[in-house]
Amino acid sequence: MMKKWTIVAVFSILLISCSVDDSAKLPSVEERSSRAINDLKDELTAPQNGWVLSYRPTNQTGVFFILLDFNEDGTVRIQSDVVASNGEFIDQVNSYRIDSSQGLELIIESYGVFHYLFELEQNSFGAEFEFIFIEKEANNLVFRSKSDQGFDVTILTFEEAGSTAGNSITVEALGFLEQGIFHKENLGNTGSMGHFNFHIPANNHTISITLDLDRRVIKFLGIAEGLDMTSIVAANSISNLNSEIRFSLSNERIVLDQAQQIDFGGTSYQINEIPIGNFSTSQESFCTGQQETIVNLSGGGDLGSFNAQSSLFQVRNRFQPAPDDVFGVNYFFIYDESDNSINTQIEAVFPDVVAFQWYYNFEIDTDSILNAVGFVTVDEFNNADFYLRGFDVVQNGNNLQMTFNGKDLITDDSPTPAQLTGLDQLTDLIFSGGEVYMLEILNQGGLFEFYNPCNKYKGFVL
Amino acid sequence: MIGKVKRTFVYWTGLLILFTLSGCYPDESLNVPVNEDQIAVETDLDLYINEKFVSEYGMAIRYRFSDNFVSPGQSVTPTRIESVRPMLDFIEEFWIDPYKDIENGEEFFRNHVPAEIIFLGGVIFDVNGNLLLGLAEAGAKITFTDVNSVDVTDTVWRARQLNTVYHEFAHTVHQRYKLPNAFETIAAEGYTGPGSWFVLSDDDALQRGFVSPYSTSSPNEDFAECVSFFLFDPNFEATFMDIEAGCLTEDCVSRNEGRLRIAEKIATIKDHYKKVTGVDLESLRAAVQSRL
Repeated sequence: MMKKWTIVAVFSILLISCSVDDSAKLPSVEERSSRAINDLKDELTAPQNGWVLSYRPTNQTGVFFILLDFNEDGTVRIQSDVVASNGEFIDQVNSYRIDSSQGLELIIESYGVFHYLFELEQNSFGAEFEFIFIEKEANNLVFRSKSDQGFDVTILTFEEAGSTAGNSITVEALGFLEQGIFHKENLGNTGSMGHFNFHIPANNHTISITLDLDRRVIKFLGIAEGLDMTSIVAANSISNLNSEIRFSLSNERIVLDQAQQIDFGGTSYQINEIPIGNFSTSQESFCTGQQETIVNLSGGGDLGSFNAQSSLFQVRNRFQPAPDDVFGVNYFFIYDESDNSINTQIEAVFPDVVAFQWYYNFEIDTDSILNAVGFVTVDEFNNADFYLRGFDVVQNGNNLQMTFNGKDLITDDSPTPAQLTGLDQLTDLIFSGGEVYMLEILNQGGLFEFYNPCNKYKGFVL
Repeated sequence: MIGKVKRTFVYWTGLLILFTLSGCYPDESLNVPVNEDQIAVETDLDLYINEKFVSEYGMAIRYRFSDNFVSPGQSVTPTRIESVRPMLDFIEEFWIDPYKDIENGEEFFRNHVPAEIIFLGGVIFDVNGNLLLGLAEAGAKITFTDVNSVDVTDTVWRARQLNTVYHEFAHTVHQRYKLPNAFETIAAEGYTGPGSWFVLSDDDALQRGFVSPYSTSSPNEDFAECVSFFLFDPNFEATFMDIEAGCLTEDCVSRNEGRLRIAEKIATIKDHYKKVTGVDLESLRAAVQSRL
């Protein structure tokens, strides 16, 4: 028994003495913090070719390819495959800082690609530019987002780059894909949507896709028999696909996170990647007298031999008759050929206007259907009035041929002549030429862009 | 028939929120100065700032990002390095130099200059997605947002920045010398509060005798907004002081009553400035306007 107590006493003395000694030798908090910062800086600046980051800001996005080469002087060269803003993020030098706050924090402190992504969708895109260091794992440096709270916290793994890592960055082809967007500005913060039709002549098939170039998501809308709008409409053999897949870009290819399987007309396609290296531009007319610049691609691989064009026409999307619902939008989000809102023209006719609306096969009652577009006003007493202009419509794919038919619906008991004339003038302007294409916008819950190819007016409906 | 259309509209209007932005100043925010020791890089730009602003006026320019610059829950991006120098030139030309042009102006500026100027690259969004165009910081420091859009020829951007800087700088006057005597009684009925000013339109504010909805939030903000609008707005007299002739509506009559209150405030503020600072606001306004 005595022996046991002796052992315990000896251990106690040893523990106490170790504790006292450690405390005396422990560097100050400032010293330890400074050392930790310097250690991380040494790690960041060590690799000769920098670090590769396959950056996925959220689980809803694809991957952005980013190369980071840190320098001792507090600058970091960042190369990326983000071609926005006239290419300023393709190759840029930013300043960085390492702080010791919630652990070690790496902060990219001047505006660059991370901040561009962070700012998308009114700072709600889910990107980050402040990273908390977690650990060194094998030869990788692992960080987590500081700004992500709660769930879906982004983990960023810096992998040491090889000498040819920069060659993998796909920027030229991506720049061409961006020309598949039919307006220049980021209207309504809806992002950058490229609309393409892939034609496979050997099988007489066309596949319509939309590329969300900001989120790196591809949507397969539909597949049809035929190689152009006329033959597709005539054959009327169309299958809805309606699947979204995240992607990355590598070596001039769109690489899907998982394969898209399509079985149609006795043919099976398993699409893992799409080559985009062979591209050009040309002029195409979607309305007599008007030209649009379109992107042409060609290649092979999983689709077989294909040619593709950016196009307003889609074989299929979700814009369909809505017997119990109405499409609409704040009237600000209707734009002219130069992407300027025509809100002031609308306000001039309807000072109390609040919305633009679109009724498509809306069932007013069991034997009465409403097809109409127009405006809603709300006066100071919260009374709403509707000024809707009726039309007949024929839809092929996403193309709507519209003819105003005089079956207007106006709830104002005594509309002024100026309002009646103004309604006709505004709708004649927006729908000049009598046709629009409805383009599906991804990730926005049933949001469509309507585009008039005859005068390049456009707008959104939800 | 119409009933179904209207019922559908009621449901549908909720979706409009997806496309709606709101602009406002937040309440005064918590801000912690950045740690000087963490700024390691000294570039030509830093040397320029040291010479022209730190040494000259004792005014630090913070352009490197720290998330302490905004409150928890707010998000904003840093400045582009290339935007910093044009922004420095802007504040020198449109804020500092006008004071140098007028009698007692430079002395006033040097004695009241805030210790910190903060540049933020983008605009600020709060947790609800609301857009914040400026930060109310009661003159302790001045935060410029949207610096990455710097363009002195963009009249909207320019007006917003000048509103920010003259508003914040005006706070130093009432903080040191108090508000003009009985200032808060001139439009006493019109004040709202920090949590409700944003329900007013510009026209509502004018009818109450205020230059902006935000100015109704408190007498201190009213004072700062009056000074700011008077200095930077080229149309100040036409909008806020000139009486509309031939009024036939109640709104028009109210606007004119509001203009009389604003004119009284401006006269009071001008006297106060002259008395406690020696600065003639009319001369300062002329110096600012000559640069626009």
